[in-house]
Parts: sequence; structure tokens; C-alpha cells
Amino acid sequence: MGSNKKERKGGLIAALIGVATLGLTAAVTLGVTTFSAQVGGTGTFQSGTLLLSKTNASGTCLSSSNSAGSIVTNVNAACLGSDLGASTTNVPQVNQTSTVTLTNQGSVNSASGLTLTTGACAAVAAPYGASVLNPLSSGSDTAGFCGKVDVTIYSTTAGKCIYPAAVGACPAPSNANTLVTLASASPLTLATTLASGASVGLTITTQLDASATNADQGLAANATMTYTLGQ
Amino acid sequence: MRLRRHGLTQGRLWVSPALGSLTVLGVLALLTGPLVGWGATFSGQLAGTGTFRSGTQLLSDVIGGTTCLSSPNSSAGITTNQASCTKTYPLSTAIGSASTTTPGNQGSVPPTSASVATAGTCGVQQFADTSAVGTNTGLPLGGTTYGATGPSLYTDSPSSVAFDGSTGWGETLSGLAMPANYTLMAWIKPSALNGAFLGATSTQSNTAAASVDRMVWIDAAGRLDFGNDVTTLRATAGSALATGTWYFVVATKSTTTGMTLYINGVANNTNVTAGALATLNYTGFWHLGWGAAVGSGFTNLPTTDYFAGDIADEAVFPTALSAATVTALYGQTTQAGFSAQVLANAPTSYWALQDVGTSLYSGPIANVTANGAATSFRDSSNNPGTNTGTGQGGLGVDAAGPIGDTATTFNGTTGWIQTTVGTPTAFYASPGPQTFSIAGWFKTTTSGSIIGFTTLRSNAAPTMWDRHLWLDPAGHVVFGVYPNGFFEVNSSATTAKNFADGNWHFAVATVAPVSATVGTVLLYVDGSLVAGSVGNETITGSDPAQVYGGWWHLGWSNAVNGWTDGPTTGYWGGSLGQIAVFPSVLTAANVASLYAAPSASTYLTAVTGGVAASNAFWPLDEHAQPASPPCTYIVVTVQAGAKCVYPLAAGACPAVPSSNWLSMSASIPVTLPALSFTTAASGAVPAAAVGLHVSVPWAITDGASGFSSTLTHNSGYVLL
Repeated sequence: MGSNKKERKGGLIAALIGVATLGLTAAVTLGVTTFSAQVGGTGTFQSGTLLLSKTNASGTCLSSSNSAGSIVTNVNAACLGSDLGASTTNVPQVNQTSTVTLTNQGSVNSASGLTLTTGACAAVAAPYGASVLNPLSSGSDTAGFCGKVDVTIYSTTAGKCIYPAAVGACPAPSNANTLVTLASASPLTLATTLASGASVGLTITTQLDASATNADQGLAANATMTYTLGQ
Repeated sequence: MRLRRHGLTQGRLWVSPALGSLTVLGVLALLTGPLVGWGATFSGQLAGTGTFRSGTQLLSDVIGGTTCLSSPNSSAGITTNQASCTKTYPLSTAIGSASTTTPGNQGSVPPTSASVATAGTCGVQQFADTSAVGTNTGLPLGGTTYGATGPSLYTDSPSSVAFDGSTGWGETLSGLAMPANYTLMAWIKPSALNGAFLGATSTQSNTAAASVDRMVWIDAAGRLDFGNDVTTLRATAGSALATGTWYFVVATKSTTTGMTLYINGVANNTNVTAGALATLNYTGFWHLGWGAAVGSGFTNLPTTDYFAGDIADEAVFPTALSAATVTALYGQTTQAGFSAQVLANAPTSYWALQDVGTSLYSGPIANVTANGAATSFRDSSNNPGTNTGTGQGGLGVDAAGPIGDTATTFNGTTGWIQTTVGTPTAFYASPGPQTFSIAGWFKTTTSGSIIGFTTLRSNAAPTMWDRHLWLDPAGHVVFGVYPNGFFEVNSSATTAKNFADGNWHFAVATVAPVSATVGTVLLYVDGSLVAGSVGNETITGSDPAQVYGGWWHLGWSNAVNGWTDGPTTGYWGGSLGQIAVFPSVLTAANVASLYAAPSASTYLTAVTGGVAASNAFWPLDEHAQPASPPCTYIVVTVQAGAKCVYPLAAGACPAVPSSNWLSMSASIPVTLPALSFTTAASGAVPAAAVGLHVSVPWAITDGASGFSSTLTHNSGYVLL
């Protein structure tokens, strides 16, 4: 152990001599003239953005507020308008279509893609209030109504049917694919990746099934539809 | 400290906790897709509610200020969306008058179809016999009205029947051996102190009868009387009735205890004399609200046989009920309880008179046979539309027809239709039609004649005959005229097709002179020219057909005589429909348009000027008579806004055709215009049927795709 202390002292002395030599040399140099060049700047680290927008018949909705406000959750759970169509007078076997466009509005390409999650459907009375004589009547089939709303989802971007999954065009609406089965099939992948600025277009076709009866009049089927764009 | 990295340590696979967590999350991400709120990645999410709403199809109509809705005005939930509208009815009770209903769409979905139709079997209203025997149905006649307020003693809102005191009464259907011991019972509320309210005679009607007794009435002094055999039992002087008050009246007769009259459960008067014990034996009928009192051998007679006021719970028992039983009956506080007590005492007949008119009787009625008048086939042309056809021999109606309509069937041996208008009326008078067209739909499997023209209105052997359209034995369509020689055009000229194939086909023949010596006869089948050409006929005097005045015959011609390819019979065996005659030549385009007409309505428009104006058009879509004989004496038209839908006619409905029965179904405009129903009598109404309340349910329906709404009117009647 004693031999180690001697080795440390010798090294320290050598180092001090070196520093003194360098200081002397510098003093000589500064004594002649002094020039300097300096590069200044800000060290910046910038994060990307991943924002999702949806455009339907009611307008455009952004995942974060379209303002200078801060992004917090990047979740907008209050998009307006129904992606299932705006008609309030659907009858059996007559379909309606709605168009939904989802766009990656951020700077970051999405490598994990875009999904749609449809929540459980629930039916409620939606009578025709404008009837003077009969403003309250609606159908009694609230229990079965969701199962009679046929739905297909076609991706105009991918050129294929998303729901039910099929190559090319969607099949005609039928009670094999309803708001009930759609919820069970969720989440649906709408795009496996979505580059910054890229969009996915959807055509959603809904129809009251041929099995609907008079008891299915004046009802509304509601289901949450959540679109998620991942990094 | 010693930093450890993941890797093999002492021969084991070791993963740092941080990376392990990421690995698990990554695996989950692969399984479930992008995760929301995963702090290690960015994500954006949008959510909203997808809503799908169905529309509503609801129908209302208003009759006489009363509104009916196809679904209740509540939040209970639409189920069938069909309402039965009671106490309203789209027919006036007075025959010959019109009534109107105004339907309306109360839903959010405009209808794409709408119709009006009879919705059940036509029959007559009844007073149901609710006894255990239950066969002695009563039939209201004349001025009787359901739904009057019942006995005030009862707490369950009973009803009664109002009798007008001059024409209203109830006939019963069963002739019964009149009992020696019996009880007559009724609740009455007189509006006038006069007339009989229950009685028997030996005739079913309210006419003179050989035997009359077993009757209760109110005499001119307001006192009740009970007649048995030739004995009258009168209520006591202190028990005169008052108008507007309910009374429970029971009259019993026993061969041992005589006659007793009860008022409100209490014996009022009794007669045990020999006359009261006597029995007049005969087979008789009970009469409700009426008795053959005036002029009878009883005393204290009323001045009218008809009862004025309300009656409920009339019954006849085959025994003389005891005083205790009568008291017990009167002691009931509800109509339901009372009825149970009545039935417990085994009445022969019990007319509770709680009827509402929705249950109809359609069985036989003595001395009322069906209207035997031949079916009348209307001329629906408007030029002038008076050439009505009269059915002859073996015809059937209501068969499935072309273009969505019904058709008439001909039996091939006796059935044909005679027309009304012929010579000397212009067009029919000599030289007869020389420029004309014939069009019509046919269906057959055999040779026969569709239409022909002869010098006679009947189908007897004529002196001249031509202008006939027929199918030859090979099933070819042939049209023949006689321009001083037998001339025909045959579909075999261009096609070997056998048109006697059991399917509907459309034939058109056109005739016109080209010059004094040349005529043109063309034949089209199913829209295409199959025979003939311009100038194909040699004629004289500019007459392409024989010169004579005559009549058209439908389903018969005399083509069997003289023509090369004549039919095997002059009659038609099959179906015919939509036959029209035009005083003009239809062009090929006209023919194509008529053939393409998709419905009876569009065809009607086409043949009444839309394509060409016919001067006779027999749709041959008459309906079958209702089975119930009384119903065959009433006919009706239904006007829907600006158009007549029954019968189908352009514009306003014609005078009610004599075969336009209370059995129909027709489309109406989806704009749901007001519907006006006009009735008329058809034929000579049998005396025994006069006054019967003829009724049939009606339904007004509209719909859109799979949704529909219906209003059914069950009650009401037309007084025959």
C-alpha cells in the first residue's frame, strides 16, 4: 500500500509542471496580440406533432383544439355530426351513405396507423316531434333496433371494404353486418401507417334492415365512434 | 456500484425492468393496435356519436270531426301501427248519400303508396245472443243505435241500444217453439210512454202475424202491460213509468202460478186466473224493441208497436223465474255481475245489447236472397261512356288480370257480355264502324272469340256479322271483316306462335279505308305488328267493313261462320280485360304505348285521350258480389280527390255502377286526398231486408318501404 502513495505524489508533481509550462507559453503569446473567434447559437430540441382531423358532413374536427392553446390530451371526444349519416327518416331497405375523411395533420408520420373503435350501440326513442297529432310516438323495438341497422365501411383510399373486411367493394348491406356486430369487431384498422399530411377516406353505408317492422319506427341507434392515430 | 446490463448473467437471461416493461407494452401494442395515452408515444384521437335514425310512418284520418290515428298518441311505443277506429265510418248511414274522410300523414316519412280497401267480410250488424245456446242472433233494423248509456244502477259503465220509436227494432233469426212457462226480462229507459219492447209473433218480420202474445209494453197511461195468450196483466195504477228513468222489468208466466209482473225486482201485479195459466202454442220469433201490440186482442194497448228509448239486457227464460231470483237479479251492482246472474239462470236467449257493431252477421236471413241481377260491366270511356255491358251466361269476375287489375272469365260455352249502345246511335248505325281500332288483353288455352259485331244486340243468328277478333284452333290471333267478301289477317303471317298458351297477351286490330277501293287492316299482338299491311284489303265504296248497323259482343262473335280460320266456337273460354274500341286508327306507336301501360290507371289514361280516345272501354275488372245477401243490394263509389278510384275512372266518379259492390281495393294518391264514399241501392231490395244495417270494415293504408300504417274503420253501417 505504501508504494502506491509515492507513485501518486510523483504524478501530481509532473502534472503541475506541465500546467505551469503551458501558462508561461500562453503569457508570452498574449503579450504580443489577441484574436478570437466564437460561434454562438441556441441548442434547440423540437418535438414533432401527431394530430388527427376528421371531416364529415357536419364539418371538421381536430384531436386538439385548432388554436394556440396547448395540446394536453390530444383527444377530442366531442366531434359533431353523425358519421352514420344525417337522415332522420330512414326506412327499411333504403340505404344512406356518409363520407368521412381522416387526416394526419401533424408533422410526424404515423407508423402504427389509424384505427376505428365503435362502442356498444344503444337505441332510444326519437319520435317525430313535428307531428301535431302524434308527437310522441316511436317504435317499441328499442331492444332490437341496433341489430337492424346494417352497416358497411369502405375505404376509398385503400380501395377495399374495411367492414366487413373484403377485397374491393363492400357487399350490399345486410343483417350480417350491423351496429351490433361492428362493435364486436372493433377496433378496425383503417390504415397501417399514415404519413404526415396523408388522409384516409371512408364511405359508410347504413340501412335499416329488411327485417325491420313498424316497431322500428322513430328510433335512434347511437354508438361512439373513436378514431385513433398512433405514433 | 456495479452496473448491470441485460444479458446473460451467471448463465441466466436477464432483462432490465425498464426494458421489460417496454417489451410487454410492445407486445400488447402488436396485439391491440395503437394505445391511447401510452406515454412513450404520441397519439391523436377523435370521438363522436354515430347516430342512425329511423323515420315514422303514421296515418290519421278525420271523419265527422273525429280523428283517428294509426298509433296511439303516447310514448308507449309503436307496435303494429294499426288502429281500429270505432264509432267512425267512411260510409253514410243513409243510402244514396256521400260521406267523406280526410286522411293525413302524421309521420316524418312521406308515403310512397296508399290504398283504400274493404278490410273484411260484408255483413249486417247484430244483437249478439250471449246465452249458452247463443244461436238466436238479433238483427237491428231501422232506427236503432248502439252505444247509448246503460242502466244507471250499474257501476261498470254498461251500454244499451237506443230505439227511435218509429222504425227501430230487432229481428231474431230462430223460430222457436214458444214455451208454456217463461220469463221475459229487460232494462228499459223510455223516452216516450208508448210501445212494446219485447214480444213474440209467429212471423220473423214485424208484419201481421197469425199468432201474437208473450209481449210486454207500455200503454198510453204509462203503465206496464204483459200479454199472454189472450190475457193482459197490467201494472198497478200507482206504478206508472216516467220517461228518462231506467226500469228493470220482468214478466213471468207459469202454467201453475200464472202471470206476474215485476218492476225493479218487486212483484207489482199477478194474475192466476185460467187465462193467465193458458198457453198459446206456436212457433214464433222474438222481437226486440217492438211487439205486435196495436190491433191485438190484448187490452190497454199502446198507439205504436215501436219502443222509444233505451233498452239493455233483454232475455227470455224457459221458466218462470222466482221472486227471489228476480230480486237477486235486480240486486246486482254491475252489468258484468248481472250478466253472470242471467246466464246462471239458463236463458233461452240473452241479448245483452252491449254490442258495438264490430261483429257482423253474414249468414242467411229468411226471405233475403242475393241480388240476382246480372253483373253490369261499366264502360269507362269518357266518349261518352254509356255502353254498359250486361253479363250473360257463364261468367266469373275478380280473376287475376293484366296490368295489375282483375279480369272477367268466360266459360267458353254460354258466357258473353251484351252491350247497351248500338244502332241507330252514331258509330254503330249503318254503315257501322269503318275507321276503327279494337284493343284488349286476353288469356286462354283454347280457340274462341274475343269480340264481334253483328246486326243483333243478342247473340242470336244475325243477318250480318264481321269485325271480329278471335283465336283460331292453332292459337293464332285473327281479325276478320267482310268488305263484300271474307277477309282476315292472321298472326301466322309472321309468327307461328301459339297465343293460346295460358298467358296474357295484348291484341290490337285497326281498320281504315285508304281509298274508295283499298283499305288497310292491321293486326298487332303484344305491341308488334304481326299481320296486315297498308292497302292490303280490296274494298268497295270506301267501306273496309261490311255496311250495317249493329252492336258489339264481348266474349262472343259469329266468326265461326264463313271465315277460313274461324274459331272452334263463337264463345270465349278464358279471361278478358281492358277491351277498348276506338273510332280512329291506332298507330304502331299508339299500340306500343298501350301495351307498355304498367297499370290499370295508366291504361285508363291512355285510352281516354292520353294515347287515343276510345268510345267504349270495358275494363272488365268488376268484383264479385259479397256473400252476405243484404250486402248485394248496396253499391258504392270512392272518390279520392280529383280522381275516382272505385271504379277506376278519369276524374269524378260516375253514377254508382250497379255492380260496384262493397268489396274493393284500390290505390289512392300518396298525397292522401279526401276520400268520398257514395252509396246507392242495386236492384230491388227484398222487403225482408229493408232496414238492415249493412256494414263492412274499411281500411286506409299508407306506407313507405317496409313501414306502413293502417286505419281500420269497423263500425257504422248503411241502412238498407
